[in-house]
Amino acid sequence: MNDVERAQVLDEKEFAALYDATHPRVFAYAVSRCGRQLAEEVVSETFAVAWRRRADIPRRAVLPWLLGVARNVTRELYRDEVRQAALENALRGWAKEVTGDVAEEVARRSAVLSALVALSDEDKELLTLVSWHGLSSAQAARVVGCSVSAFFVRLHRARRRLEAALLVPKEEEACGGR
Amino acid sequence: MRRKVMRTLAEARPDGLDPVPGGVRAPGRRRGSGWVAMVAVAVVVAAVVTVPRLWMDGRETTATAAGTLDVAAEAARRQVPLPEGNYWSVTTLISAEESAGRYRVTVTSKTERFLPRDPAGFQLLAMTGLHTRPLTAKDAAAWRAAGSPRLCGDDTDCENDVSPVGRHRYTAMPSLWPLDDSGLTLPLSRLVELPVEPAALRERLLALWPAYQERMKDWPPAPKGAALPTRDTWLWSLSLDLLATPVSGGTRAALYQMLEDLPGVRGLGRVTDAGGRPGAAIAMGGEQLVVSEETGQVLARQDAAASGRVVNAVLFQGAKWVGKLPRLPKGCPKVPVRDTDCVG
Repeated sequence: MNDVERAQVLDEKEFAALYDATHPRVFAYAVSRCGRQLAEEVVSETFAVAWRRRADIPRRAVLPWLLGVARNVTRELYRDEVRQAALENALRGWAKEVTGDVAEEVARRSAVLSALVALSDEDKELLTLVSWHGLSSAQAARVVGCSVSAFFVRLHRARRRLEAALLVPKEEEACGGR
Repeated sequence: MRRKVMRTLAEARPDGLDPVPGGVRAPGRRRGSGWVAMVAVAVVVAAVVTVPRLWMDGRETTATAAGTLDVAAEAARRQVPLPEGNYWSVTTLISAEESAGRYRVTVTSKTERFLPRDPAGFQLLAMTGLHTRPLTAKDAAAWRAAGSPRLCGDDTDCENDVSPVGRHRYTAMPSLWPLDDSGLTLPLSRLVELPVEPAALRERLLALWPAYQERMKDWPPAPKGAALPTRDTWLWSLSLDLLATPVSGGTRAALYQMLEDLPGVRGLGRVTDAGGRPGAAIAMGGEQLVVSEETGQVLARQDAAASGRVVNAVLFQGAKWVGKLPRLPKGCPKVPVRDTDCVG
């Protein structure tokens, strides 16, 4: 981080404002990594770490920095198997809960959530950072700690695997006629 | 109905991610322009090379494609080899339709790729944002009714962090990307050696399929009722990527003829691409390939909705060998190296 990005250390009032502004997004990220039940602890620990390290918070990239902290905190708090199992449960639940006016759209959204279950943990994270958390590739690369170009390539592959998971067999018939 | 997979995923965002289920939305998670940005970012990543492949439908495919690209193939065969340089440069305009909730917008950006002849080098990808506009007069009215929020295009929160308007983002990519992703790792200078007969070319490319299939074993298992890419969809994608490389005119013609005969490919006849240029087109699923009958070059790769309306397009502006890279901004290396990423 360079000096331009780092401003003066936040005081309590400023930190409270930062908490109010970013808490929902940190919570959403945590839920998307480990489900609702485990998320609360991740969020409180993340802001505890952020308070201790408030001198390091880059003012122009607060959210990617916070999500990066939440990412590490999640890993420290829960074993991978536990976290992934909780997330899979959550995804299956969300796939069943999808609602809407148009049956076709409901089915489509439900299918994409079910397909997400089948992907690797890394693919899940990259895809949701962009599509659920609204991060740009540059921001998301910062969260997962890789270069933007590496992120492009990884996202490209993850997206292809998600598409593959959604290809229904009848498409083969329609395409191949065999 | 086909939809872009990233948009579908964005739309499937569970309410359970928010602190109070179904309650107040998180600040920053706006249904307005911020929403446009987040989906558009995915589009740029996907469209740098190709329009995002769609979630294919089971649409009846009756029209045969045979003969659709014959005139274009003839033109391609007459193509004179271009003088070689150190980089193969491909310029495209990308336009993508996005929903911003109550209205739709079109996000337009320009990309230039410079593929190094030396496979040990890095490819330079230059992106610049052009404009973001409401799609129709009705969308424009809805946008005004929403208070005319600033439309960020591919830049999250208008911070110019992906495709900056008026500036360029330069990013280093693997030298042979995305061909290498499909299993073809021939250096650029050897692509001219590919066969010029459709059957021989098909055989040459299909020789890569077993290795690709083997690699797919590392993919997570497809969920129940789903399937991995088929040999034919893989061959279609690889061929379209190859058409953007310095293959010979003969190979280009052979690719057109091979694609016409691929099961599932439909002929669309003579069309105009999203840029209004006349050409001949074939399609697989929702993806269209439009080719100039005059020059034998690819004009566009486009995504069409079930109605046939084109919703996303990559318009090819030109491809040629160049001697050197554009001058990169201060603070950037002269030639891209691993992890190069700068804006200027």
